[in-house]
Amino acid sequence: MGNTATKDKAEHVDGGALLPNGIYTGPQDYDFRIVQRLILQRKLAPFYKGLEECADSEDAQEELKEKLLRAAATSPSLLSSASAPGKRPLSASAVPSSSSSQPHSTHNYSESERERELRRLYHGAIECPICFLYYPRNINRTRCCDKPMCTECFVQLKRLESAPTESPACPYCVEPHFGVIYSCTPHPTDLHPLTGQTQHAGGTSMSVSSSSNSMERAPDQSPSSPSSRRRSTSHKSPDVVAADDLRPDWNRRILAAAQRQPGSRRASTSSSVSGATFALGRRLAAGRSSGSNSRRSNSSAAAADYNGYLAAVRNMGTDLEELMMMEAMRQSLQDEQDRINRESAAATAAAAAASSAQQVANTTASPSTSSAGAASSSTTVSSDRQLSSSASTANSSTAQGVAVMLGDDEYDQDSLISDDEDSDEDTPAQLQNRAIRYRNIAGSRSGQMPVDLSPKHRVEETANPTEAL
Amino acid sequence: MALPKRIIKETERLMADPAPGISATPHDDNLRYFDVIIAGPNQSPFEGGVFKLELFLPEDYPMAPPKVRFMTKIYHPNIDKLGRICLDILKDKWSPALQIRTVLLSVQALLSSPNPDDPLANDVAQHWKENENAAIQTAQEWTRKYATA
Repeated sequence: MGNTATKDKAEHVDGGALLPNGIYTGPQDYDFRIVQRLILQRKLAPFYKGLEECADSEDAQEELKEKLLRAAATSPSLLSSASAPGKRPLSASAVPSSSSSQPHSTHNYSESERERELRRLYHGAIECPICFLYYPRNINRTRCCDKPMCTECFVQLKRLESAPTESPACPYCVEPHFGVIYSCTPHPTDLHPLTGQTQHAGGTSMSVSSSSNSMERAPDQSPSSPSSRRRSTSHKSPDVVAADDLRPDWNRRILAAAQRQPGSRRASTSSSVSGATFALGRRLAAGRSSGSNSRRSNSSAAAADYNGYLAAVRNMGTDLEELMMMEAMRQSLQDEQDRINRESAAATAAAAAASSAQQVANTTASPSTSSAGAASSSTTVSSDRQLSSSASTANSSTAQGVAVMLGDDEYDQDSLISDDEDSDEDTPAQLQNRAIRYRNIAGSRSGQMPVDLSPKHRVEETANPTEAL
Repeated sequence: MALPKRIIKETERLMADPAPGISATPHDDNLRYFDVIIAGPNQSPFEGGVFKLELFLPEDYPMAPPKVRFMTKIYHPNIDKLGRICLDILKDKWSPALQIRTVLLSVQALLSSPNPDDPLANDVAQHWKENENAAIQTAQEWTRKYATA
């Protein structure tokens, strides 16, 4: 598929853009790649242009016409067909209300046709209660109370700095675990091959597994017609995009906050901890599903998850024993990895005498019981010792250890991608069960268990003092 | 920097359809800064008083709460000497779905139902808990003294 076509098509979905319109001018801290992927997967409404007035009024009709058409004429990013003579009329797939009778035709849309499409898209426009602008009726709905919210407002919502352990609450009904659902209007063009191609194109650049997900999901989503009004949907539903999903590093913020005020949140309830535990499982799953994100980002997200979990546990101030146990588990796993790593390194010592341990591990990992991920993790560990002042780097090794611990035992980058639904179901109890399973392993090494678990010692502990090769 | 559409629309609607007992007028030179007047609610110690407040919409409003402060002296367990207000929606319970109007209605409701168990002015709250009648009397006196136009 042509590069240009991919690029053009990737710029809009359902008549809206992949980039915000700049309603919020402050510094933005959400992950825009995640947002774009979610839009391409039709899990999140695109960034529609917000109208100042309801599109059914005369003024708004004028505003709509002027704004959208002018924008379309000057920039291809709003409605691409306008400024792209000779190219395909992309609005056929971009605008859901477009006629399905000739979706493949290559003629250019006339002014009136585009106008009619836009008018149909914005017909009966609804006001976003946060930014007070009018949007097509199919914008996101809150999962809990089914209220509209435009994507531009949604991406602003995040955890409070003052209460980083609490998941964002719905601004309308204050229900925790805030999330939205997007149902693009059911329309034949939704199932059009071009649409699938668009998603695939977007997907491959972002993530292998997610593109296949989106292809499967698209037909599922379209039947949910606006007429059958949705009730509250669980935040675990795969259709829900949670506010936390847009900031994979939210758990790092928990850690930062925990370190800033050690012990001051002891009174926090167990629900916040179990929430963090649950989120750990979810995030690990999310990390898996976004397979082709680099390994680094996977591991750093997982590291942050682990840290968030540890912080939450620490905040609770209750289960020091469990914390120590987890640390012991991690160390023993790492020792095991190191051992395997040494073995595989020894096996190829002649060939790879001068090369780095990581390379060795990667080239010889296949016959060994351990995975490439595990091997590289242990090499990270040794190099981390020099970098122990940098928490994020050091923690990535922790993450690998934990990821291995939480995931299947035979765990490699491929299984990372494939079994993504698995740990989504991880409940705190399950995590604990796994933890208990590893207790025996940990027991033999308990001599190494750290006694002082105060935050400032964290980093040194996680950088396991293993001997380098 | 251009004023967000939301602030413009909110102001328009506030002017067109003001909440009873509440007025909010933006400054000409700073449309994020409002002069607010709240009438003391009936059957409260503040009845008959006219209370001036200032309200400022910070840069990240509506993602961050407005800043609201009493300019008129008031004897209330949740409002301190500097006029700062102890109200959860002005802090961690803020939601971008709230508006200037709802915030001011909440402040008005706080005047009707002081909450000495979550005090900002400790001495006033103590007074309120130990001898509510006497505290209410002081509040009425202050209302007469400072809040009568």
